[in-house]
Order: sequence, then structure tokens, then C-alpha cells
Amino acid sequence: MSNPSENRIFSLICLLMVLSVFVWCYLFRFFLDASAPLQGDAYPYLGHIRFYVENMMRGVYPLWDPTRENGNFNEFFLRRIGEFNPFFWLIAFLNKSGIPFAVAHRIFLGAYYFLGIAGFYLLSRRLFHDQRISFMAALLLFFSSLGAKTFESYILLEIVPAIWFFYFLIAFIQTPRRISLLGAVFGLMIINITYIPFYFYTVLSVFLFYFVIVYATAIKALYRRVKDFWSHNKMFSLVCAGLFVVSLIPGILWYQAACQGEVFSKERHAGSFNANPATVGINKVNEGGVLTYLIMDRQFVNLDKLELADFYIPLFAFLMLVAGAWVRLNRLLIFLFLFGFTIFLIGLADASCVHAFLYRHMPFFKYFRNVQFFLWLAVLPAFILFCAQQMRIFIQDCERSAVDRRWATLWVTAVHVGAAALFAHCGTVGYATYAVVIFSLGWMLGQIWAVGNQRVWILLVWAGIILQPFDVYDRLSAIYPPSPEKIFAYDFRYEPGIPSVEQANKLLAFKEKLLGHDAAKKQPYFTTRWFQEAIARFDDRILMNYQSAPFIVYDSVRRVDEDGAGFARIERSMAGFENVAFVYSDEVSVGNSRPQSKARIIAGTDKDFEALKFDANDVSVRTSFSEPKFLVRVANYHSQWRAFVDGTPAPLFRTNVFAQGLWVPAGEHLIQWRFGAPWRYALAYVFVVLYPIVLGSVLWLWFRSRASTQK
Amino acid sequence: MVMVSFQSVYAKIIDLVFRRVILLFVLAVLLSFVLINHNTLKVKTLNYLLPSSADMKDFRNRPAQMSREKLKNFLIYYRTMCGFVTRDAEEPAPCGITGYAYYYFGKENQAIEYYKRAIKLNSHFFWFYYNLGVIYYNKNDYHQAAEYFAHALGIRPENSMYFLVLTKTYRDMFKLLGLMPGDYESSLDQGYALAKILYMNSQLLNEKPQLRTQIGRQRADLQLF
Repeated sequence: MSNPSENRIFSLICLLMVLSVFVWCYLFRFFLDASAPLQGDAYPYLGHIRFYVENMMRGVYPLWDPTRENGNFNEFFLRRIGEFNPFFWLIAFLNKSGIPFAVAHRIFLGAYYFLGIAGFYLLSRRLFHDQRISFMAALLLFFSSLGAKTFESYILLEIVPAIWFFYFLIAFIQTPRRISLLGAVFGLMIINITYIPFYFYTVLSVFLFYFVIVYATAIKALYRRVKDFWSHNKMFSLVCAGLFVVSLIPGILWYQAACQGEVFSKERHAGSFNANPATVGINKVNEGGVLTYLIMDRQFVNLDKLELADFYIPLFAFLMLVAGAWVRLNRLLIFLFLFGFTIFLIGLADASCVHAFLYRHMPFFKYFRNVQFFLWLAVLPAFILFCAQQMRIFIQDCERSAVDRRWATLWVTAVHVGAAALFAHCGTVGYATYAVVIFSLGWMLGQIWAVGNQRVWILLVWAGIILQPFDVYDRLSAIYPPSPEKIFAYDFRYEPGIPSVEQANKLLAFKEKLLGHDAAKKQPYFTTRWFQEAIARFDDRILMNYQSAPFIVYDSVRRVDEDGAGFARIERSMAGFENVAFVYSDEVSVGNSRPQSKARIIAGTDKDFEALKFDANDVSVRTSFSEPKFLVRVANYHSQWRAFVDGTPAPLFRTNVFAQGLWVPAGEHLIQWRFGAPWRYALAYVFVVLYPIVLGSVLWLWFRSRASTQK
Repeated sequence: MVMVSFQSVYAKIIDLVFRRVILLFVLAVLLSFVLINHNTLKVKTLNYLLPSSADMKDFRNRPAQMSREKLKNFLIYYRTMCGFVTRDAEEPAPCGITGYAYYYFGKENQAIEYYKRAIKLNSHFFWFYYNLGVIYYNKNDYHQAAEYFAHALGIRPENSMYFLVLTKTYRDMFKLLGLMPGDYESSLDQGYALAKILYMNSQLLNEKPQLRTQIGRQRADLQLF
């Protein structure tokens, strides 16, 4: 970019980008300052992120979540967010600096989105080698509904690394360099630790498939370039391959945990014929998918009703699309069309035969639903790149005087007048829409006749692109008025120390209020299969009352079979807190045959019971019972829980269908419960350190390569 | 010479048809016809828009007291259904219900438009005429109101019952509301009785405008069935 005029244009683009960031922040101000609550999936994801970050700030890697559904295996939710993503540390840093967590999280969302847009701009630069067109493409994506989706969905966590991956991949294809390879691998590493990387791998598969077809003639040269790179960077390439393989481990561990069948998501798994609880039934998949209503209802008209979940692309893109209908085809256009259209067909679920075919023949398609997310993940960026490429060819032809200016003027004017007439006919569009049509027409005519200053045209394009989104998103504050942030379940219970009966009751009351009568424990989204069984078998009130006790001390134990007999008896015992626990093991000793009538509920410290430690994965208490007691911790049983008496492993039994129980000898003893094997935590901490190191390496290589380029 | 010009025209046509982006647009449309099941797409869209069944009772019995947000859900659902349903027997029902929703949404003109559309598709259903009559009655257009009430009264009740029983849109509503045939039969009876009164009122008010201040202030309600 040694050309001074190009430099000036670049400076202007940078300035306008910064200005756009301010405009975007202004439009979403109520979400960014956390005065309006997050919507849809973004809200539970805030919960997962908050639980993870707050625990990590306490030095605890939370493999177990004691606050969710009576205690839950947290791997599923950690995979949801991809907990090793080093950018989460920004939240921790901001929070430590005194910013409330909710605001810190919103700042993270905004910053992460800007990072994605910056990646998209660079990706466009790689594709088009034209900073004006790249600026337009980035701006169109910036003010599309992807930005609104930030506060309504979790798609941001997938799309930002995906954009950067494709940027580095294209860079590597063009010129194989270390920074490109490591950058692409780092993008994959982040995507791999999310529990459904399959969205991305579907997109990548389609990308590679069409790349090989459309760019078949370039494959040979590419192979030579890659071979040359490999011969000079063998060790580096192997390290990158190793990083990629290592990043698959958390996903594999989660898959193995799912295969064991101890945890279960009834909602996801319903209707699946596959034994693996991680799979999703085809009917569940078909509930989602791209809908015509979702795409078209608020695209051109009814914009005053646009909500966060609605699909929206600034009008300027459509004007570019139609106005560029007569530009010459080239390989990139064909590639983007085939890529985007195929992903769109997959996203339609049962409305097209493509998804059904893939569901039948591609195993990984059985593991994810909500295929409408493809709309944002691939179709939207591909569509914008397609429009941008059209305009690039259009401008190039204009500059080379390769178009018949009169015909081009006629066509472009007809498109814009037609659009304006259509909007006038519909009657439900604002003035901003007409202004965009005028700006777009002015800009395109300016390009056709090659008049005016390029910087002025860039300003006009900027105004033309952001004007309509400004009008549209400025109304969001009326749709989502400021209101207090919703409360999380674990706000009540997750305090270091042992939960009291009062705390537990408060939590249950809160859940009931939040979810409606009896919904507090009905149909949890994801829980252990035994708690699911308890919900199905036991009366709601009895179970909730029993759950409110943190610890219960019994004198005797009765063995029960796995065949499901005796639920009525267990329920009766739980209802009256009878002094007998029901254990699913033949190895347990039964204890006192004539016990007292009532079991003893312990909440907090007592004369012979002292709570020492309570965090996500560890619970320690000191007991000094006068005789052996069977101590039940009313938290969900999972085979990864281990118990220790004075540091020695002790058998832990599944008790009363879903809880954990163990025999505690008489006298003073230290009782500990620990979740997960030590190697699992060691591995997690290795990942916690590894990801920032790789990010640091990417940045270091980036700046080094830029410095060497400038030299 | 002719050959050369023919070749250049041929080349231009090839260039315009096969080497321009518009070819991809045409391809997209063709592929959409082949690869997309449009009926499934419509069903998906309707499923997505389906309003809460818990609000159905209010929609039938107390639409005026419903929040605009909830009413809007019904309006969008049935209006979309109108555009999707193409079976002759089925189409009038969502049109009529859309008219009903529009009326309580405060848009009388659209309500009239949809009721007229419903009547065009099925002119043997009592409630379309009755509701259209009520809209005009409440608008103080007694001449039109009397005309529609007269039409309503002229329809044989068994035709309306036949339509109610055979139309899936209504059957789904009956299921949600837990209604038996006897329930909407008695509702139809009451409808005829009301239509008679309103017809007489309309005629009277039309002929003697001086009475409008006394009788005309009474407003009637629309009824789904």
C-alpha cells in the first residue's frame, strides 16, 4: 500500500470503522451497559460463562455444577462455551478491575464481535485485494443481524474463530506462511473445544468440496506451495498438527462421558434411535431450520418490528446484488454461490432433501440441531462476499471502461427506481430506506461515469450502508426496555460454605417462580439419568422437600435392586424422612436394624458435624458421630464422585435413586467428596495455559511478519 | 459479412446468457424448485409462528381484553396461513379468523377485506356474514350491516355446521378449547338469534336515524364460531 492515495483511503476507512464501532455501540447501548437483559440462548450462556469465570477466579476448574438440577456434570456446559478460549480472561480482568460481571460480559461480547468483523475485513482483503470493497463487505456484516444475534444467541462463539480460521486459511492458500498455519490451527483449536463444532466442520467440508471443484486447475500449484512450505517448516507443521490433535481431547472426553449414559438431555435426545444420549432425533432437528418467515418477513418491510432474532441484511447489499446482475461471472462468484446455496439447503432441514441425506449418511449430523444457525454462520457471510465481489467486478469494469455506460446507467437507475416504487407500494418502510436507495444510486452512477473523489464515494457508501440499520436498531430500546438482569439459580446457593436448608428452599422457590408451578424440577434440560428417573417416579413436592436438605444422617440402610422395584417405598421414606436409606449395591452394610424413626437433617455446622469446604468439585466435612452413621449428601450421584474418610478412599453408594451416601465410622473423621480424577484437572489446567500461549504465538508471528513485510 | 455479424451477435448472446451473474440467479430459482419442498417449508413456518395454545380461550372468548402482543401472534399466524393454504375447502377459515384478529387489533378495514375474501371463497358460512354485519353495525353503517345480517340469516345452519366440522383449522381450535359439536351448535343457535335482533336494529336505525343516539351506541361483538 505504498500508493499515497491508497494510504489516504485506508486512513479514511480506519476512521470510518472506528466511527462505525461507536455507532454500533450507541445502537446496542442498552445491551452493552447491561440495562436490558440478554435474550434467548445468550442468557443461559451468560450463566455458563459466569459460573466458569467466577470459579476460575477462585482457582477452581468447575467440572461439577452444584447449583444446576441438584448438581450436574458440567462438562456439557463447558463444551458449550469452549471454556479454554483465552478471550474469556478479558471478562475476568474487567471484573477484577471493578466492572460488574454483567457489564464485563457485555463488553466481552462487543469486543469479540468487533474482532470477528476485523477478521472479516481482512478476509475480504485477501479475497478482493481491494480495500474499498473489503470495507463495504465488513460494514455490511457489521450492521447485519449478526450483531443483534450477539445478545440473543451463542453463535458468536462459533463464528468469530470460524471467520479468523478462513482468513488464515485463505492467506495460507495464497502464500503459505507460519503465521497463517498457526492462526488457522488456533481457530480450529477454539472451535474444537465447543461441544458442537459440527456446524463449522459442515461449513468447512462444503468449502473444501467446492474449492477443489471450482479451483481444480489451481490445486497443483497449491500442492507445490504447500510441499515447499512443509520442506522448510517440518517441525513447525508437526507442532501445529499436534496442537490440532490435542485440542480434540476435550471434545472426545465429553463424547466418552456421553457414551457412558450417566448424563442425559431428554429434550435433545427425544426421538433419537441412537443409543448415545448426545445424539439428536431427526424430529428435533426438523423443528428448527431456516424458515421463509425468518428470512423475509422483516428484511425489507416491517423493519420497525425487527427483533434480535430476526434475520436482516442492510438494504445496500440487495441493491448491490440486483444492480450487479449483469456483471461477468468469475470463479470466485461461482464458488461463493455454490458454497452459500449448499449451506442454505442444509439449513432448511426437512424442507430440502439435502439435510435428510446427510443425516442418514454422515454420522456427525446426528449430534446437532438448530440448523438455522447456518444462516448466520455461512450463508450471511457468503452472501455479503458474493455481493461485494459483484461490485468489485462492476467497479473494475467501469474503471476499465469495459461497460456500456448508457446501458449500465439505465439498468442501475431502473433497479433503484423499481426498489423505491416497491417500497412505496408496501408502505411500511421508513425514510432511511429511501435515503439508502438514493445514496446507492448516487454511488453506483458515480462509479459508472468515473466522476468525483473516491473518498467522497466511500463516505457516501458508509452513510448508505449504516443509515437503514441505524433507523432499524435505534428502535430496539422500545422492544427491549431496560429492566433488571434476570437472577441466576446459583446466585442463591453458590457461596463458599455449606448450603443451608433456607438457602436451598429459597432456590427452589425462586425456580418455581421463574419457571411456573412445579416446573422447578420437571424436565430439566440436562441432568443425570438417575435424577431424571427420580423426577419421573417421585411426587414433585416430596422430591423438592427432600432436595432442600443438604445432608441427612441415617442409622440403617436397605439394599434395593436396579430393576426399579420399590420406588413407592423409597418415596414414602423420603416423604417422612424415615431413618432408612435405600442403596443400590449389595456391598453396603445395612447397619442398625431397629433405628430411630426419623433421619437427622443437617444444615450447616452442628455439635458433631462441621462443614470445612464447599466448592464446585470438593466438599469436606468433619464428623464426630457417637456411632457409625450412613451420611447422605443430597446431591446427584455420578460415578466420577469419590469419597474419602481421613484421606482413605471409601465406597460411595447411589442412594435413594439419585443421591450419594457413605458409611461414616464413629469418632472424629474428615470426610471428603471429590469430583473427577486428578489427571482431568491437570489436563484442564494444561489447556488453560496452552491456549493463551498459542494466542500469544499467533500475535508474535503476526507482528513479526508485518514488520518483515514493511521492511 | 453476414456470417461475421451473426457470429458477433451469437457471441454477445452467449456472453449475456452464460457469462453473467444473472445465470446464477436463474440457477438458484431452478434449484429451489427442484430441491426445496415448499409445502414443508410452509408447515415449518406455521409451526414456528403457532401462538400459545393457552391463549386460545381468550382469543375466542375475550379478544378485546387480550394484550396486543398476544393478539398479534394470532393475527400473524392466521394471516400467514391464509397465504399458505390453497385447498378450496380449507382456505376461507384462516381468512375469516384473520379478519376477526384484525378487527380486535383495531384495523377494521383490513378485517372487512379479509371477511370479504372469506365470503368469496365460501358464501355458505353463517359467521362470516354475521361478523361482517357486526363490523358495519359498529361502524354505524346500518344499511350494509342489515344486508350482511340478512345474508347470514338466509344461510342454512347445516351448511355452517358442515363447514365447521370439516375444516381442519376449526377442528384444531375445537380440540384446543375442548369443545364438542353440541357446543358450537348451540353457539350457532345463539348467533342466529342475535343476527335477527341486530338485523332488525340495523333496519330500524337505517330507516329512522333519529333513534341512533338511543340504540346505536350499543356495540356488538364478533364471534369466531
